[in-house]
Amino acid sequence: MPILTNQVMSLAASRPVYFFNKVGVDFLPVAELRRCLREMAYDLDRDDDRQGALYRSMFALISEIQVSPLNFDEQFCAKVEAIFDGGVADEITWGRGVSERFARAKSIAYDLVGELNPLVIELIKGMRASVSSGHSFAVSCTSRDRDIIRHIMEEARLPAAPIVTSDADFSQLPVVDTMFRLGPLLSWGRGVAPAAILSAPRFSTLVQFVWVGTSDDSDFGDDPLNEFERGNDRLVSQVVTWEFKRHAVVVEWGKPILQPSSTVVHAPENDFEVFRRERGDLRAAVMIRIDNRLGVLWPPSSLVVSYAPGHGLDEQPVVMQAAGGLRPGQYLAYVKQVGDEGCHSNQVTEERSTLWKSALSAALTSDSDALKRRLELAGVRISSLAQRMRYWAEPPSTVIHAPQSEEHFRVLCHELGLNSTPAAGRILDFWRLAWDDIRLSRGEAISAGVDRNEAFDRHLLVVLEQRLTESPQLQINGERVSLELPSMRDGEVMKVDLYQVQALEDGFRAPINALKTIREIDYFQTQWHQ
Amino acid sequence: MKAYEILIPLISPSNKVSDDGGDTWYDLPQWVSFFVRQGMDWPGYSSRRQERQIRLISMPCQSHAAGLAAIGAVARDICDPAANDKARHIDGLMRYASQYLDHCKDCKLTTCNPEFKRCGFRSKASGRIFKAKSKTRFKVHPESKPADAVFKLLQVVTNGKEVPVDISDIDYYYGCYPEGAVALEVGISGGRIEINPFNQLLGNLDPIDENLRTAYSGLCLAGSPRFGSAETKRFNLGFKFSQLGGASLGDLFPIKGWGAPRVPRLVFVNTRGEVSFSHMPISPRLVIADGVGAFLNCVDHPALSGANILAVIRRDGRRDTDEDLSAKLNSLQQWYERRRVQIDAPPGVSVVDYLPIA
Repeated sequence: MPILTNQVMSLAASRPVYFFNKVGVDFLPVAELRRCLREMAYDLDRDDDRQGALYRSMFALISEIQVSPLNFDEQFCAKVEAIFDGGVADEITWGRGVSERFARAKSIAYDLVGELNPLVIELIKGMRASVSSGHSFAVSCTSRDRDIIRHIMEEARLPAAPIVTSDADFSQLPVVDTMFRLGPLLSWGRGVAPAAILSAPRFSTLVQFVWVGTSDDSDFGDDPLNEFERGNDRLVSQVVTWEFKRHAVVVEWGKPILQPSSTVVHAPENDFEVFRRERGDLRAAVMIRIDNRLGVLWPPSSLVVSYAPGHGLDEQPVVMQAAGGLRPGQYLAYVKQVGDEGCHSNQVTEERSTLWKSALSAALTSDSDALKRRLELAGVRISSLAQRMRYWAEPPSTVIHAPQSEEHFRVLCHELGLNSTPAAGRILDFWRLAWDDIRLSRGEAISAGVDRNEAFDRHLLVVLEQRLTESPQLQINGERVSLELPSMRDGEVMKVDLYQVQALEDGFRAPINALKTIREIDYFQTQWHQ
Repeated sequence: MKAYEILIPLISPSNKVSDDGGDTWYDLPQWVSFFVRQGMDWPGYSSRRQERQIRLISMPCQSHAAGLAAIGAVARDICDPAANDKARHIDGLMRYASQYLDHCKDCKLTTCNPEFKRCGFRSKASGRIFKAKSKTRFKVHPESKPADAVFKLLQVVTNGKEVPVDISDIDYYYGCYPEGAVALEVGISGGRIEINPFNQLLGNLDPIDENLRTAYSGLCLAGSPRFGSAETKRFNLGFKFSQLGGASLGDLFPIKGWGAPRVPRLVFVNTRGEVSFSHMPISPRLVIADGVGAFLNCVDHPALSGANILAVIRRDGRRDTDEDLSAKLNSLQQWYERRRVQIDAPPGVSVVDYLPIA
């Protein structure tokens, strides 16, 4: 292995500043294709097996577009098509947004066939310019593209030059004048590049070719001993200073591009902000409005069971479909309870909620300020508490208006003097039973049977279809129809509400515990609308 | 003037160096002098602090920097009367006896657990002491005073009875070692460090004659885990100074088994596989680590605990080792303060110190 210390240290001694030329290539069809992938991926729930697999295949494709010298050919089209089985993302299964965007992506991929990749053209131009000016160069790319880059050099009749794909390659790289980098500088994934490209350069100039709207990893080049301070014009560490020169190349595109629909899109403009976000982030959701006041958030590509009144003769009345594909007028099947929770019959629930709401109303009437002070002292510190107390005192309807936090509700019951109550020979905490009522009314599953999965959904689909087609035929109309259907367990009943979909609203991102629960529309819009 | 107060000599600028075995020669680069100087003035040397200090030097590529620092440290130590294992060895025995008498002897824990006890020690001192070669077993006499220059020993005889012995000859103790440690290896027969190459390189040094004749294990060079002993030696044989008449960096290393018989004054720590030593270090003062792997293998090694560390870290190494280094440095920060050192480092080189929190 050659010892290159003297070369490298001499370069360091002679270069107070290194140059980093960022060439951004602006090519409309690729930009739009990436946008389609971003927007589809942004709506997916990665924790769902079905959607997670799709997300990963989109990530692989966008990574390839970002860092590889792709040929826009039929093989490329096939890769785009292969994201969905059979090359089809039907609206029923994946939702309207995904379906439309996938159709756009395919259309763009077809239109690109035969076009030269502008990133590759710029790379060749750069290498030719280096050769003609007598400068030595190397190329940094991914390991799986090494042979393609070598082939490109041969085709362009360029002299062989070192190709750096790994840390090991970089450590043996002799000092050259210029390093060409294809794609962003990433610390992991397909486009991973040696950090030493920035922290221990063996060239005076780095020329990077990227699609416009792409950025390097924010900590790329940092190591345990040296970190870069990143400015707009410079990148400075204790050992290296880089000076940026930015240059944009706009490549004309004459063909028309299928325009996106009016669907609102909120995905970030940077590919990797979408594809490399941490798990546990907020999930994309659509809000399904079920009346003027209430709604439910649902991941757009997650499945729901729906019923379409007035369906065609050749159509199934009850289907399992993506939430994002629901249409106004359809009914959403919403499981409220599975099995018999004993203490949670409708009548008992109503009595219990009426009891604490009456106590609250009485306390508000006698001295609302005193109650507010007592609650605050006990730790209920929320804004507009006085207003919220009056809201909690409203009579129960589809949902039971109550504090959002279990602890706040416990304190409220305690301050209202509602303690234990005998039930079925046991002393049960009143507040605990009342809290379960509230959870049930919000659609939260307190029974293990409501652990939703595809088998459960399929069962629901079958029993709902049976119920709706058996005679005498059930009349479904109005905003809400409550049904009791057989559960998956013998002899057990599940309570299902059919809510008529009033409208679908995009642009929500919410934590997982806010999904699939019925709450006030105002709450969703205030908390989770982007 | 005491040896450790000598002015640090510089390599003559007329020297040329070659890192490819003599095929290509360069004017003396700044970084070569820098690393020799770092070895001479290693962290904790001038300050004489008891607590471990760690210095990490970031280099952009593979280099002979660790070897150069090792030569600097060897040159410094042969001029230093304190760089002598005899005194350190007796100190070590005394510390062991003190720990046994003052703490471990009366400890109520049936199983040693320093973390639980919060006694500050690493492991139990059983009070047992062995004599090299004869394998005689002793135990520290419970009435010994740690302040005694020579503590009393109880000889343990084969039938289990403990018989008091009184040994006043301090030389006898050089062959003794605490349970779990090793004997002092000293005075390898008749050898002597060849001082001329050091003088040619660094000007006329003022060595301590005893140091030139006496083995020493306070200074360690830890090679990269990617190389074994032979490969490290071969690598360092490739670095030459013009003023040494063709002799290489590797030729200057007084490492046991690395050349003509000589007095070993530098321990080679082979970090490839299980860590091994060219000769066993006894409370080493400095470990020079060549790379992240060597540093990580040494920083927690019991035989090297407490030693100062000078590590040369290359930035073109593997990313996973960077992550390991990062994790280790983060864990060190509960005991050490990280401080960037503003010294006149060559371009492309940075220095970070980890100093014990006072």
